[in-house]
Amino acid sequence: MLFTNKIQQNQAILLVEDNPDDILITKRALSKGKISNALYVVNNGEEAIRFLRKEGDYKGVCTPALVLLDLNMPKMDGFQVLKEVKNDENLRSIPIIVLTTSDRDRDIDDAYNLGCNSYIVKPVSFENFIKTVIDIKDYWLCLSRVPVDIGCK
Amino acid sequence: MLSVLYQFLENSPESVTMVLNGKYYYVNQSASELLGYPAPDEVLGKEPAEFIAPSDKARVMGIINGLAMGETHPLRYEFKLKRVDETEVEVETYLKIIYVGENLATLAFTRDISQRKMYERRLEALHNISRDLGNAKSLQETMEITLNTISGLLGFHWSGIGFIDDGVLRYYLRTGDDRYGGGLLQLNSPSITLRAIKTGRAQLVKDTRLDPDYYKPPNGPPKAMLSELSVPIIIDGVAEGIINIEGEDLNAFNENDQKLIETLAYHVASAVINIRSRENIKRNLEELERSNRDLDDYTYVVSHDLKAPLRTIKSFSTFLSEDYGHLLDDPGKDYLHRIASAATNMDHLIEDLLLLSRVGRKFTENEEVNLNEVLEEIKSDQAAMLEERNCRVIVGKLPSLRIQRIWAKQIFSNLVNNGLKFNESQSPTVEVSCINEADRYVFAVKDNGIGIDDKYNSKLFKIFERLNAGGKYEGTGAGLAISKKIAEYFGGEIWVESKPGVGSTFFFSVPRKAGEVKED
Repeated sequence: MLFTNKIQQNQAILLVEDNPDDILITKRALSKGKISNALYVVNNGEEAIRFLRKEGDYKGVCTPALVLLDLNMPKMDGFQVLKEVKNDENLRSIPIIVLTTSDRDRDIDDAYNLGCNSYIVKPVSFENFIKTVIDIKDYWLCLSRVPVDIGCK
Repeated sequence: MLSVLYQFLENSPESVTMVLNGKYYYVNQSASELLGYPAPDEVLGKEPAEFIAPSDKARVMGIINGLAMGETHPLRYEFKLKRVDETEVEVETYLKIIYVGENLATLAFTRDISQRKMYERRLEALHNISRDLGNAKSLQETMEITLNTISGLLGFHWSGIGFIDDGVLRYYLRTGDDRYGGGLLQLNSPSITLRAIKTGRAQLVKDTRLDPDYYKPPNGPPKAMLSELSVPIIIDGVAEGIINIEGEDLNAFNENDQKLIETLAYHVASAVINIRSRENIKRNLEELERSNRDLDDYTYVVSHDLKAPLRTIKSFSTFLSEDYGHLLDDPGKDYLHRIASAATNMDHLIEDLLLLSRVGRKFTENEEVNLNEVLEEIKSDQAAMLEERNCRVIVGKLPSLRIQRIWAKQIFSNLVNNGLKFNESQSPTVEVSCINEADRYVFAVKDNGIGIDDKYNSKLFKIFERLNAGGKYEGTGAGLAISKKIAEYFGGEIWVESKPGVGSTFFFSVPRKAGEVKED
């Protein structure tokens, strides 16, 4: 890949998703798309915040270079995660990509208002899903540069 | 002979006076009674100016003096006479200047017209109130208009209007000095008012002391009223309300007053029916809009919820085929293929449902849309297919409208694609044109396709009705349902004229007032 460089290959992706099927699908899409970045998965918003703040079990984990965030989740939903992260000055620079089934106008508006960096509607077909994750990786992990203090120390 | 004429003058029911040198010189019996004196003698020598109401004095004296100076004035005029007891009475008078010897004298023939004036005012008030009540927006406004009219016409101190609501009579009062108030009357109370409601007939009581049902409500008049007139307001045959007036004096109201109030009650009943039907229509419309919106929201949510499991089915059937396809024999692969294609089909159905539920959601603003540009866009989107199937899309001159671009493109795109899809001609052709009618634009999309039998017309625009089953033509069958919803969203209609084997023309209309672009 043209834009890939050494530093960015170490960058981790955090997937915030409650649906086990979607987790499997995303994992497989990443692997089919030959995306070798480390993938961490948490199942709800609360876990996502604890991961990003490296609390409890998450002590010592990487700061992910990218968060893939589902909107509809138990406990704390994606909007609350966005609110929490974007209001936290230590976390707000982490790019958050909403990856959801909803293409509802209100959801899109709300997500951007809360500071999401990108909003992507999950494709139904797996072929398109692979294309989508490759596009996400090319843009966010290769073409874009992320803040310097992100990554595995 | 002279004495007979004198008798005639003296006893004439018409008031006759003669003014000489600014003072009454002759007054007949009728005139003295009109001025409030028992006999003419007491009036002689007084000045006519004394007997003119202050509001009219300048005008009337101007006429009298002007006539004496030789000015021209109308023979007849009206004014208010002030009687000796200070009461005022409306009269009309005819003046004549005559010579008595060397002197000019003014002859006046005067008549009490207060009765006639009262009827004129009542008639005018009834005209006005029927107009005002017709425009009344609420029950409260209806009651205020009615009470103000009664107060203006009868001037009685206590008038009320009320309606039965939830087992009590809720009434609204107006007093002579413009104070308003309201109250409740339990339906089992003794009351002349309630008797009018129970019997459905007007109750004219000239002496309430003799009426066992007379009831003075606690917040009603400060003292017992001696006269009462209660008239029911009858709506669709049921006495639902009351107009009530009360007077401090005995015999304050007569049968004419009763007729007046009955006429008012009739107008009030029409106004109430009017208001109720307006409210009903409004409520039904709101309910309809709300349930349509709910249905759209529901469709939207359900469609979304269906997508997640669908993604699982599609993805895992792909995984199965990729990872274990080599372990399956041909029927196994066929089954898997069927699962995948059914899931794809379901995906399209859901997409169409979502699209359908989005029509009417206001997520984009109206803008000026050049429809010829829209059709060019549609042609360029479909360029590959058009070329491959040797299709032609011919577009006439179309107007620019102020509408939502996304739906304009969707409806034309649906109709054009339908015309090309259901088409077995060597050269599928669709012609798009616009007919300018007086109050609407009618767009026509004409094809040389397979056509539709008339008997299917009613099914055509319903969601997921497909006339051609069995996969010969692709699609979910939602296209025309979506088109119909868009046409209706624009405020217009959609319809089709077709001949099997010859072709179809789909029409839809957009009202001019909804979509007109002002040309500066």
